[in-house]
Amino acid sequence: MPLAALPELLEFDRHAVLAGEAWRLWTGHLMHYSPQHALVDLATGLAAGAIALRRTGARRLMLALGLGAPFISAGLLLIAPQCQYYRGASGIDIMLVVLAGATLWPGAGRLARGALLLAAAALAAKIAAEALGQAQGWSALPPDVAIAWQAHLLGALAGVIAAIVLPFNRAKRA
Amino acid sequence: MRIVKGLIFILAAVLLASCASVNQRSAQQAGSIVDYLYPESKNPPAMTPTVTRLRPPVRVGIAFVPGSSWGNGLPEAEKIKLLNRVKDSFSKHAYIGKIEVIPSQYMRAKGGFTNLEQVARMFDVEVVALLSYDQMQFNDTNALSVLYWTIIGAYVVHGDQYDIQTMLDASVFDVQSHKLLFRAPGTSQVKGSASWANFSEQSRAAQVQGYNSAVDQLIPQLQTELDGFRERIKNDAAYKVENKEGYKGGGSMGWFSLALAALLAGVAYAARRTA
Repeated sequence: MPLAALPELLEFDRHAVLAGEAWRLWTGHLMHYSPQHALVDLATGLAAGAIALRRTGARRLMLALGLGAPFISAGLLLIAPQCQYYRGASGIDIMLVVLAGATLWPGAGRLARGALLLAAAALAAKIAAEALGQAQGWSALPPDVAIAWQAHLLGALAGVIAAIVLPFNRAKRA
Repeated sequence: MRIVKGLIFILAAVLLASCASVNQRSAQQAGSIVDYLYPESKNPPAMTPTVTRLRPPVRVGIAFVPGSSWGNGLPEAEKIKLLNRVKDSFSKHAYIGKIEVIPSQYMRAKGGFTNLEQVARMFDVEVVALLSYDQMQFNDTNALSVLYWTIIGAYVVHGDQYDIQTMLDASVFDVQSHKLLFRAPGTSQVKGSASWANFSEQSRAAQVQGYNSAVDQLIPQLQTELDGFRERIKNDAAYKVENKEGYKGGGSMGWFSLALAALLAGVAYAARRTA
């Protein structure tokens, strides 16, 4: 099989998933439309993952990733019926960012908590702007690809659920 | 008898000289986009600022602007060939979906946007690239035309010259908003000579060559404009890219997500220092 065909085999493809190709629920997050798209997602995921890792531990973080990926993909099947194809790790990135923020919250001072709240508000505003079609120019996506803002919303939701459900070592407040 | 001979000589000279100048001094073929879209318009069209909504992959139609009179311009087969070349330059872009070549029979002279909308509905396209043209042909005789007197010379000697200047312009319109999205020009000049007997045939071939050369120049400019337009719509508030049924989605927060991660890293660093 030529390497060029790999993205088509691994991307989130609504019809293929519904036809039983369940691996796409995970692998769709690993496929990207361009090197820039992949690099930005990878850098964000590594940075947020490294912060979350300190409190959650590797096993819990892997569990969050393993469950979060199909949660976002299954959510796309349900709430974005027009989205036929999906690629990108930003849903997972948002989950990690929210999880990292939640792990930092208990040990954060007033100023740091203010910064975390500001980041949360900015994230909510960004997703809202995407939903209203006002953020196409901010993404690294090709022009024929629309931002799947639902994936970001689902990623944020997955991050909140992971922060509530997963026990992690809470740092004492400074 | 001398007088009769003299008269015959003068008559032959006049007739042969008229042969040499039987071709028109100049001829023009034109299909003006302004005449087509804004017929009989004495006042400039009122433009209201609107947001142009584009839903990739965009369906594009390509057509020649109809000439002002029947038979004006290239033969239909040549037009279709040229339109197919322009079509190829559009098809390289992922955000462009179906591309339809629209035959001239569907375009009504001075049809305006009403005709454009009808054609767009008929061919199911959202954006139409209209090729307007203006070709001017200048005909002259040169010093060799004196040899047409020999009759054989009329078939052998290249005593007629033509100079054909062609201007093509591809203007791409959004049908719904009537907005000009972008345009790209192409020009050419073809010069040549022919014998009196072959002049019509050769100048017709040169006209086609003129259009082909203008398209050669137009296509790279069209590519540049297409690339520029793709970047422009990302930041221009006058354009909005919307989802179409069955769209391709991508998860990308761009630099925003990196900024968030950097902010979190800063908070983590501060928390570690104070711990």
